[in-house]
Amino acid sequence: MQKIGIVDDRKESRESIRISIELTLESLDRDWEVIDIYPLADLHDYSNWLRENEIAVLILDERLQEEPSESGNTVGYKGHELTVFLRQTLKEFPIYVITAFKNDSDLQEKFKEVDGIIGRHEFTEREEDYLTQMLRAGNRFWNENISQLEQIASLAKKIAIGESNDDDIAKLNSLQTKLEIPHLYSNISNKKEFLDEFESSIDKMEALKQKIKDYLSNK
Amino acid sequence: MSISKKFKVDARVILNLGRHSIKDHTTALVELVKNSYDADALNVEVCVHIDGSESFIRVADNGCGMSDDQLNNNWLRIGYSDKTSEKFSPEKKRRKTGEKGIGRISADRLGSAVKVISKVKGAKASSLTVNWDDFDVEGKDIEDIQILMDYDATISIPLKEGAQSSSGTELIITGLRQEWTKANVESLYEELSVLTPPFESSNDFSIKIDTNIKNDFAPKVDSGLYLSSEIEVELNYDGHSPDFIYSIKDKYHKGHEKTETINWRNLVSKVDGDVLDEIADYPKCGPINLKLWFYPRTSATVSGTEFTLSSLREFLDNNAGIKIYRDGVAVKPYGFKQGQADWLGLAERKAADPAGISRESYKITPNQLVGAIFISRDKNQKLIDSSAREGLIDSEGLFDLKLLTIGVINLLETHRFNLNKEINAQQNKPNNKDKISTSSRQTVKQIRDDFNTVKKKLEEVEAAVPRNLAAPLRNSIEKFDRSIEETEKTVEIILNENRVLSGLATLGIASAVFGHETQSALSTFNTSIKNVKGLLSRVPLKFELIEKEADKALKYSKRISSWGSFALTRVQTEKRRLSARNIKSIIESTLDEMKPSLLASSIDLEIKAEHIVSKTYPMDIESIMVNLITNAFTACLNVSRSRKICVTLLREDKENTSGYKISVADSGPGIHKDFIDRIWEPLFSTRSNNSSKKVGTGLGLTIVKSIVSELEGVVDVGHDTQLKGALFTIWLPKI
Repeated sequence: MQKIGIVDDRKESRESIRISIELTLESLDRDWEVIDIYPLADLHDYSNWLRENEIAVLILDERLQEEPSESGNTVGYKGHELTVFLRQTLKEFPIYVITAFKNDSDLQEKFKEVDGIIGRHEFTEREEDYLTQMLRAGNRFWNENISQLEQIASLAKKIAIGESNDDDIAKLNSLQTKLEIPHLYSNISNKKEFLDEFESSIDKMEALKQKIKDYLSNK
Repeated sequence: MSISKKFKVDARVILNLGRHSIKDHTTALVELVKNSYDADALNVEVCVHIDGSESFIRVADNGCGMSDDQLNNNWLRIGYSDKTSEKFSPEKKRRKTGEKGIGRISADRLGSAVKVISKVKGAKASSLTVNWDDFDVEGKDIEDIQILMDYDATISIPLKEGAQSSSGTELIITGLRQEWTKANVESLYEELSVLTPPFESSNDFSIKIDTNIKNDFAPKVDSGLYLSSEIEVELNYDGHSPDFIYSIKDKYHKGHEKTETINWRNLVSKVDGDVLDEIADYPKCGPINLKLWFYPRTSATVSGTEFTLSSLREFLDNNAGIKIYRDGVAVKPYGFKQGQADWLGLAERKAADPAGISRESYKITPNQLVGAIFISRDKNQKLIDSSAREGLIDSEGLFDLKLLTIGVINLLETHRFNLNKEINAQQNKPNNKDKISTSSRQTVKQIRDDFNTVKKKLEEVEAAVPRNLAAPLRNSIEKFDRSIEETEKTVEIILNENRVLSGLATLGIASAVFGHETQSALSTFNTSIKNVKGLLSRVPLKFELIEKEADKALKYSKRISSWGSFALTRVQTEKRRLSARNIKSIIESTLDEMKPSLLASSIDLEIKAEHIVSKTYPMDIESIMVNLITNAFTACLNVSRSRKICVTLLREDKENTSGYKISVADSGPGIHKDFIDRIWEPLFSTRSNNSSKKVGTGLGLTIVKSIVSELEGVVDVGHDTQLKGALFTIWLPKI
């Protein structure tokens, strides 16, 4: 199921927004979930978090450094910096910034990177309208994403049963790159080759194991 | 069959060498004076007399003169110059200026006829009379033109060290070819006054100008003005090393001269990194000695000297520019007002980057700089004169010379920039910690005290003189008394207005910083209330969640209202009255109002305060606290370590004055040492956004300093060793 993710350092604020969005989703009869988190320590952790939690829309606060986490630390980046980082790999992913400081100059400079910069007060006043927009964008992204994942699954199956060709391998690599999925099939053209390589790797591991044993016994 | 032939020289060639190749009549006259220099003259008299057909120019010197033989075989021999074989003058060993043997023909540029009268020691004077127009004929050889020689002439030459000179040369030029104007004479004066370096103490060549066109020449420039430069730089280059030695001294560090070395490529990289590929490892100009004197055109430059600002300005108007002296004689047009005064393009350089003195890229303007580059004909062979006397030929040597000079100017500018920082630090140092500031009130009080002294004296005077004589004085004194009273009242009104304005400005600054907090609180309050409404319309009711959101709304509403009351109570009238107050209470109540905003950002606030009572304006103390806490708040948000602000209030005496000290320390990044001296300046802010744009107002600390100064206190800033951030300290006298 698709989810809306909220990232905000202020616990009370993000919880309230989450509850508000949940109530609005209910009134719109939309079957989405909402999760909220304190900003992650490392920007690189966001890709996995988004994928594992099936986040289709991301809502960020701009000033993420104001309230420390439970461990007492604050993060070293702002909302617009997180957006720029995510855009390196997720060009079409819906990202919205909801902030009390809509006119912040740093944020406004990155206007083109986000799908919307919304004042908190504005969001409260017109929550239904904004949410409808967000869900539409989220659905579009999700459907395209699902379709690509399905393609990956189909291509992987073809490779596994030995019915793939070079075009299939190239397409799979391209999809894996786009979705930031590890390349498992990069150099394999058919099942036999895969098994041969696998066996060869096992032989190498056995030889290494023996070498270590010999070394230790000679010591 | 071959036969020997010879070149013949048309008489007209004289015109090409003289009239047509010298740029102007001033240049021509200067050439004649240079000949006097080469002849070891101590004194030269130059006279330009304009009177219709009776006009003449006279150049007379007390040099070594020319014998009959020299007149006949040297002077009359075009192209002959003993300066190629005898490079130095016989007595004073001056490096002779001209080598081409055509300088004498400059007389043709000046007038149609010249009479050359010359005398050597122990012989009679002889003369030659040349009519240049005789050479302007067709078909005649130069040898066909007759020149009259008189072996028993009368000569008039300057005295030598007070006595009749035994040798010398006098030239009288008539049939002047051009009108001489005041501007021409001024230009001549300018050139001749710096023909040899005017600041050299061993200047043994003096030129006197006499003319009936203009007789109000500026007095001879006092060489003492060279000593009152703000900065003096000297560079010596040996002609072949890649490194130079230079020294810099300035008037603020008397007795201290900084001597350094710098590499050629390093020097050039600071001027123009793009030419590094074009230059060699060392400059090709040959050995030089370069001196620069820098004078800001302000009264500070002449302060402590016998010179006035107007004499400085006149000096700079006449001497600004960098001149090149070859073997002690100026090379036109470099550094001359009428020539290439700014041949290095300093004005253009300044226009391209007009940064002020407080910026690292600061550039001087050409009218602040006097300079001299000393070169030699023999040693700087790549710096070649053009034959038209119009400067040096463009060459690798000249290119490198220019780069080198600008590089040294760059060193001067860097020194000036660093000096300015030092000077500002001295001036802005918060009352030097031990020095209590003088407030406006104190100043007015001083005036009142002085006036009361005068009033007492008046009483003595009134007792000694008749009443009617003392009456006008009494009236004046009473008038002044009323004026002072008015002034005292006005000062109080202004100070009071200032107090209110500072309070309002402080509120504005705090709003800008804490506004986000209030806005966030308002937003969360709205969302929570909306959630409560939403949850109440759902079944089943989620009581726990409803209660949680309702409590949240309540909490944030209090936060909003506390900010509201904080804002509304800042400028109450009661806070603007001077009265005995508990300083600790004022500080604590102000901090209580700010605490919610600090807690919202997880900033721990610690207060350690002694019980201190003093007469004060509560608004002043509050404004100081709000500004310092606002500053500390912003600083704490900039680091990820645990956030804390610590406020202390302790008794402390200063200079036998009882007082108290307020300190605010934070766990922020601290203040960079480069900014410490500027932190109190208006509009200066250390805060910037990601695009390095300044975002602070730069007014908070200025307001603090202003208030403290008016209260006759002391401000200071440093580093807090415990919290690792900034530490601001305010000392105020206890009243």
